[in-house]
Amino acid sequence: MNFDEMNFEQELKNALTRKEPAKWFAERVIRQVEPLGQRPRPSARLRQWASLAVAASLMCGVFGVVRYEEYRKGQQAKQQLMLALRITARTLDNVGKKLKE
Amino acid sequence: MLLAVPSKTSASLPPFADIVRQHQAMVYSIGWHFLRDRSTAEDLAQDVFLGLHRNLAAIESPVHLTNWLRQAMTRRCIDWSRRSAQKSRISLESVHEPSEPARVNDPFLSGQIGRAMGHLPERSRMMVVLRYQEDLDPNEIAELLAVPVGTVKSTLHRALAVMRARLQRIRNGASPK
Repeated sequence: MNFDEMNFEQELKNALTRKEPAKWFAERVIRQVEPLGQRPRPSARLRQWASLAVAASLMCGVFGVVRYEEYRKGQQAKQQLMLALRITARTLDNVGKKLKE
Repeated sequence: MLLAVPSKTSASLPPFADIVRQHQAMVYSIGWHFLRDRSTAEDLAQDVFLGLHRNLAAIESPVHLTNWLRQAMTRRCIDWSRRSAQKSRISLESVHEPSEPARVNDPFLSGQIGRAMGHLPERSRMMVVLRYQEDLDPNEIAELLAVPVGTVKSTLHRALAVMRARLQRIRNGASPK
């Protein structure tokens, strides 16, 4: 068989017909360019719960800090009181010794 | 000109998703016929559409859009081919030859034509794809590839002669060098 010019050009057209890419091709491309604003967002209820959870966590944090501060101040006062008592006891002890002399 | 995040097409163009669905066969087929590699053709076609999305605001009309897509895919294919120095993943010598002569519209012949194209230089191969897949005339091909019309005509003529001779040698049972 000879490939005369006309037949060959027709064969080229037949061989080079357009083909479809994979079925998921278009969806893959579209998904990649979807702006963030158009992506599915969490529901309003979920967002409300998340906000409440964040607020509760913050309140717990603040409460914890306040309680710790109170505890720390109490400990400090206790130590100062113990020191004052020790100094007083030592002073009384010295006074007692001098009175005996 | 690259734009940050243009999400809308100009008034005369359909939405981006419709553009992809409408033109995917054209863009993908240029890659497939040029490279003979499905996954690479799909990857390059995807790059072309992502590039289009970034440049949507610059597209003025449906004709401009089609030309833009053709040109972008053409360039990407030739660049990819040059980078990878890949002529064709399937060598003609590795293909079993049918014992009977091919008939017109024979799928074997279509396959042989595709493989014979793989042996053409990049630019000649792309001209054949644009001429016979996209049915562009030499003037349009010249504009797309930024070469003189005379070069397109002579290159196409030479490419077809080479392919015909190659296929004729296969028909005659000779080595398809």
